[in-house]
Amino acid sequence: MADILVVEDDSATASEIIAALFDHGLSADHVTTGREAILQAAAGSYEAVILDRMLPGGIDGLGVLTALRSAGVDVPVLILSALSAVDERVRGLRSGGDDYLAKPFEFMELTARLDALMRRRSFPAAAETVLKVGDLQFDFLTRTVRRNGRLLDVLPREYMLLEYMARNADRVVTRTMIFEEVWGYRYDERTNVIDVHIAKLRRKLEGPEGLPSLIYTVRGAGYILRAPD
Amino acid sequence: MLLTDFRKTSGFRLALSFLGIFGVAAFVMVGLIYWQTATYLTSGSDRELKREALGLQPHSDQIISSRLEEHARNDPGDRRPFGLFDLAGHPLAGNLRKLPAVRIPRDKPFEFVETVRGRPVTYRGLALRLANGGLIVVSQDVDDLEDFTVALGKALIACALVTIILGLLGAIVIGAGAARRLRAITLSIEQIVAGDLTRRLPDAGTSSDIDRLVRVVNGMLQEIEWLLGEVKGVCDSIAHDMRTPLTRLLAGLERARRPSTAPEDVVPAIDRGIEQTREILQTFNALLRISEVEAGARSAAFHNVDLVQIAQDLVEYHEPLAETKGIDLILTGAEHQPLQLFGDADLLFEAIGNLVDNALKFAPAGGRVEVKLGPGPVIAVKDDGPGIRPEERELVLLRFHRSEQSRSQPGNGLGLALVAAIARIHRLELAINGEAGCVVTLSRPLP
Repeated sequence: MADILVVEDDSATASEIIAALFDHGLSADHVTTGREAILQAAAGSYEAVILDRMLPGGIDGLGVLTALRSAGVDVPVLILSALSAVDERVRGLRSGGDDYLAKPFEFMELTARLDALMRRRSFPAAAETVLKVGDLQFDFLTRTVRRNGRLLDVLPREYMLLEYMARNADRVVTRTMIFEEVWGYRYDERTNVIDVHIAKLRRKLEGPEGLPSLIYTVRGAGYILRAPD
Repeated sequence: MLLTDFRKTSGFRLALSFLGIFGVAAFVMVGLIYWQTATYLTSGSDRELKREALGLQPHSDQIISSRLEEHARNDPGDRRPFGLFDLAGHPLAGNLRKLPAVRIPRDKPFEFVETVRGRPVTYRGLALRLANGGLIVVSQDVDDLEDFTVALGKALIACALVTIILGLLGAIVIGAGAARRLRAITLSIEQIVAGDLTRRLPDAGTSSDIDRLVRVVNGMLQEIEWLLGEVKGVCDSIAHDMRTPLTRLLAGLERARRPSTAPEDVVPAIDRGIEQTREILQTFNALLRISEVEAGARSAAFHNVDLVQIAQDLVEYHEPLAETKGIDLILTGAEHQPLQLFGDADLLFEAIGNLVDNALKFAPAGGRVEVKLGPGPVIAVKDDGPGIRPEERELVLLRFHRSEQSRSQPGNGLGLALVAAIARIHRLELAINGEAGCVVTLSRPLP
């Protein structure tokens, strides 16, 4: 049983997606129509489904989604679409999708969002009150973070940023994902203002002792928070 | 062409139908007057006759005869012939020498014609039966009445003719005027269709229906001219401004595959190619977004948003960047809480964020960028950089324009065009001014 089900009728795009997933350490099954997608997703137990919005043969992506959700199949679904208008995105998410990516997309964005999807499923956020990543310790109730017991002096937004990265520790988060989650707005943000926030946060993490900041830059993709092994 | 055209115009037809209605009404009116007048005059005379006849009827033949002789003496012209006849119809007295040849109705006025001095004269008479079987006939010459009714009839016809002629002339004038207007408009439209988009339909300056329509159509033509200009501008700009990144992309990829390139240089070359592609994609996405925004596609997702919240998030978002550049980024007017606007929070964040980005690019180190809020709502972004020259202020709002100073800075020139589009769908006006530095203001225009 493969990890991911890829539903995409364009074979060139599909092979690129599958190759990118493979590089990322995920195996994938591939179907090209809505019918096959419903049958296979319902029958199998995939970690996630990558679903193209436009499919041939009568049932499109949203149709697949509606069918699966009403059958009680709640596998995480990432919708891909050439339609980027905001109401299309809302429709996709309302039909039961978990995330929506407009074409053309970057494959690093795809894998990063896929990771976030899968992680959300396995670690529902509500249960925890503390989180530990390396020597970082988060207290969600007081909204504070300590490093080696020392309280870090961070602004509220910086705390939100750090918490987001910690919840997605060891996974790449793209600048777009950070912007959406931490600031709550959604658009094609391209100026590197986020980089300055990260730089500031890094300095605070390093502290007077000059500890490693734990935030690593992933070239061409984004950032990753990783405790040193 | 003009003479045959006017008959088809609605003005002509309307005038004709009104002519018909009023013509008929006038006819009916005059006809009524004629009929009433004639009836009145006749009945007056009839009443008189009845009075005379009733006055004579109860008396004996002798008294009637002497009365009739006296009447005849007073009526030398025989204008009012009265006569007494016996049972057989023979005349007994009076200046009515014989019984009228017509059928004489009992107790009702009747008309008869006698030839007097070679001319036919019409009389109106009344006959009453006497107790002894005789007949008394009183009558009146009604030629005057006849002349009057004939004259009235002639006046009626003349009136009708005049009405018809005037009405027709009026209808023709109206129709011709309308036809002339339509011809001028048709000519203008033909020229526009042939490609001259600067032409407008002729406006006579009145507030008539056609002029109001003309003004609306002219407004539409203005919008179309502007849109087509935009499309042309975009195509020109795409061709011009996209050439550079595309050329660099091509060059980088070709370099990567050249045998002379060292293996360790291949990946960086490809990375640079990816970077160029990203830039190009970004430009295309931004263009698409501007079109999407301008088409109003986003306004379906509008709801009430708080500008103060957005501005605060924005300033907080850009704060670290301002800090590294040594620029003071402040927000004023946040006490006008909340500042509501019906719109799209993402678009507004992007628009104002764009302005702040620009301000941060151009403000000098140690300088200041202010985001100022006010009721209206009014959002202003001020910086104390070099500003935009007055001549350029219109141009910067067009897509792909880069002012001279900014050509060296990174970006693709779409920023302000996107801000203008976002402003427009929020019904905000974008204004650029500033004597010292640059002030860009978004505000609701007064109705």
